[in-house]
Amino acid sequence: MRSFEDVFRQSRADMLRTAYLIVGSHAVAEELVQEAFARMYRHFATIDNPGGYLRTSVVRLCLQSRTRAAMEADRLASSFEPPATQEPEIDEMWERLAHLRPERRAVLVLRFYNDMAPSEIADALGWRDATVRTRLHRGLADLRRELHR
Amino acid sequence: MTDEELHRRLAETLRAKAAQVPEPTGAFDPLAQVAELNVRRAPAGGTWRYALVSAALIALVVGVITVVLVSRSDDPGESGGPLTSVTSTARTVASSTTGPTSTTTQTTTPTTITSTPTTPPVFPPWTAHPQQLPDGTVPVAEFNAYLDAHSSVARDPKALAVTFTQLDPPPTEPPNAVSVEEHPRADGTQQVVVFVLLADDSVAQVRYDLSFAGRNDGTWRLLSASWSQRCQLHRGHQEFSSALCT
Repeated sequence: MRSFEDVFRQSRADMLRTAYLIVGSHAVAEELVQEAFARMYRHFATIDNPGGYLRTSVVRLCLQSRTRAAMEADRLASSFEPPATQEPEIDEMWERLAHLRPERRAVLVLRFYNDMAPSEIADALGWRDATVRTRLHRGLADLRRELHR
Repeated sequence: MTDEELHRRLAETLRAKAAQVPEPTGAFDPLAQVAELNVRRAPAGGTWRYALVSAALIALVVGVITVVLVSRSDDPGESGGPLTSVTSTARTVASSTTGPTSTTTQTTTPTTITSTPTTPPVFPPWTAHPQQLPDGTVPVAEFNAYLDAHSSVARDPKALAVTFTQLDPPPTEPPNAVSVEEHPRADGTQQVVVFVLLADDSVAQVRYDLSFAGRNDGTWRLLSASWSQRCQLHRGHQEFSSALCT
């Protein structure tokens, strides 16, 4: 069985990228990933699948993050945020993604960045298959509408 | 823009933005993080204040429930007078027996429903999702074992079909997502067909075909179950089949 340090070393960067794609802020993503690791640490001995636990924890924290007012705005304001890529197609799509509802954006990230099947997303987040498919469908429809504006 | 193009652009964007995230540096001190997490969770002002607020909330909830119960027992009801309680009792008995009333309801064929009345469960709910095997079948043994253990729930094939397919409550998206048809057969078995519309890119509709057999005690068991699906336009077959959509 892998140690907590192994899981931390191997998963941290990946979790950070996933969280960043969902919340759109590198600083917030770092906070959330740290919190997810801290939560996992407390129960590490009882967790069978640390990678899955961590991903679920990160995505759930990301979905809650927009409703958490205490995100220490001044600390985050001075931190690093990736700049625009200067590639119009990518920057435009990234800008449009910011307008999606958090749960739809999260499903799109898990599907198109993490290559997870809808059933895997449903398992990871404790949602029904149909809910995931609906959110996927609506997220893509929202995106298409945003791009045509 | 085609679906493929949208998917490609989205995947490219996510990959490009993810690549901008620098490799994290610095060690992780889990004990410090856990301590911070505990501090963040702890209520300000100490534990006693947390306990006080909790006790006040509990007292408030208990008070509201008591007031509601008292006002209900004093309320003569919509139709007025003591007959209300008699009527509702009779309705409950009629719906829970297997007498002529419920038999008549079961033999209405075919019927279509869009939602199922929900009653408070008095037994452990069936939580497993139907397992769609590649050959188009769905295993039923575990569900029947569940019915053996809780036979009081096994009196209505249509309700059992909804339970088996995990459609209670029915999904709200897309509208009218679920319809259930019931077809009694000459041999006494009951066929229940469940159609589920999906707001999915490739699969348009899933169909479950369930065969129920009645028992002498008035309960039903699932003889067999199969699944099939119909694809969205231009995403594969338009007839129900267990083949994958593209």
